[in-house]
Order: sequence, then C-alpha cells, then structure tokens
Amino acid sequence: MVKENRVVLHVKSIGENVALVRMVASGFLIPYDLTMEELDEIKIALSEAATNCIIHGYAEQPDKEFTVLLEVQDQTLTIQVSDTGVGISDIAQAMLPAFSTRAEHMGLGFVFMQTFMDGVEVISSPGEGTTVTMYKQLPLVEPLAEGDDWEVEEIG
Amino acid sequence: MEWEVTRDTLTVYPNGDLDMATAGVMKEEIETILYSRLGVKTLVVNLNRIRFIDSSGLGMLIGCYKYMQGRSGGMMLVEASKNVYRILEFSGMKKLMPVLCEEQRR
Repeated sequence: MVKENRVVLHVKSIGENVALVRMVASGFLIPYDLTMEELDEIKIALSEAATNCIIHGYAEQPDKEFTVLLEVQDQTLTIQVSDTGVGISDIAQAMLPAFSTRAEHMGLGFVFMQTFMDGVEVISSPGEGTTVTMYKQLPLVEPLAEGDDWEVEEIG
Repeated sequence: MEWEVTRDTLTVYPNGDLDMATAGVMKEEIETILYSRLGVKTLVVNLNRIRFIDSSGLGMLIGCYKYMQGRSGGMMLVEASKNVYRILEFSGMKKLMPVLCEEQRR
C-alpha cells in the first residue's frame, strides 16, 4: 500500500521559489518508488503550474502568494496549485499548444502538464484567481511477504 | 557562466536548473557576450551541467535562436543529459537546430 501524505505550502510569488517548490515535491515523492523520468515529469508539470501563477496570475508582482498542495491518497498523487490573481477568461484557449499571452513564452506550460500527468483540471474566474489540479497514479509497491524470494543486487 | 570563443563559435556552459528564475539571466549573459563579438556566427549551448529544463528554459533557448538568426548565424545544443534531451525532443527543438545528447559528443 502506498503511504498517504499531505503537504501544503504558501509561497511568495518570486521566480526563485519555483525551484524550491520542485525540491519540496522531490522530497515528498521519495517514498513512492518513481523512476527518475517520472519524477522529472512531475517536477516539470509542477514547475509550469507555479510559473503560470507568478507570470500570468500575478504579472510578476513579488508581494503575492500562491499555494501548493501535494497529497497522496489511494495511490494517487494530487498536485494543486492556486493563485488569487487575474484569472483566465478562456480556459480552453489558454490550454491550447503554443497559445501564450506573452511573446517570449512558448505556450507549452499546459501541454507539459497534460502530457506528464494523468489528469489536469483548471478552475478559474477573471479577477478571482486560478486553481490547477493535477493527478497522477503512483506505482503500487507491494511489501515483501514472508516466504517471498528476494536477493541483494550488488551495484558497481 | 563559463564560455569560450573559438574562431566564429561561442560555446557557453550554463549550469543548474533552466527555469523562469534563471532563464532571463542566462539569456542576458549570452547576449552580452555576443554583443561585443560580431564575428561569432555559431552559438553552441553545452547543456552538460543542466539537470532540469521547463518551458521557460525552452523559451530562453528559442530566444537565443532568434537572436542568432537575426545576425544570420546558427545555433546548436550539445551534451544534453537524458532527461533534458527528452524534453528538447518533445518540444520540437530539433526542427530548429541540431540537438545532441551526452553520448553524441562532437
């Protein structure tokens, strides 16, 4: 059975904190036996959501705060990232590949979230903020039972 | 950030995570180096020391690509780690410029 856990972070909306949030998520996910590839994908999805809060939600105003929830329940990882910023008026348009309100951005943020996670939900109201909730099924790690065969692999 | 110019090629060695906090700074650094070296026609970004990249980092690389195009030059990405290479491939970067992973040293 995958261990259940929950962490909530209130994060000042500055770019440096995107790396910090990724680091917390990496630590949070240690017990769940993910491959480096899976871990990297989750970190990218989280990074995109947090970056959106800072750049789009708060237009890079550093005195704002966004919230990150990390939760594992019933073998499912939930990552929820919310801001109380400008909100999105057309969610379907915002989620289109290569759509960006800013020229220097590639519009890949939501594409990465949708590609790397099993599900992405966006709730947003103009002037009230945006909540992005992402789900990912975690691999089931069966504990060793008595009588199971096992061996120690020597590395290097 | 370490860098070197050999003939008409500038090679830069950015390190750490390439995300929204670092991408802008790196682009400025690269453009500052290029600004005073008009003879440079090729920008090589050695990604050996980059362990993480997201869409902000990719956007920065596209920005550099456009800058090099603006001076009729070219750009390539080399020595990307497995994880970074996968993201570069997925984002279609290979349609714009050569992208080599760690195993494909020039």
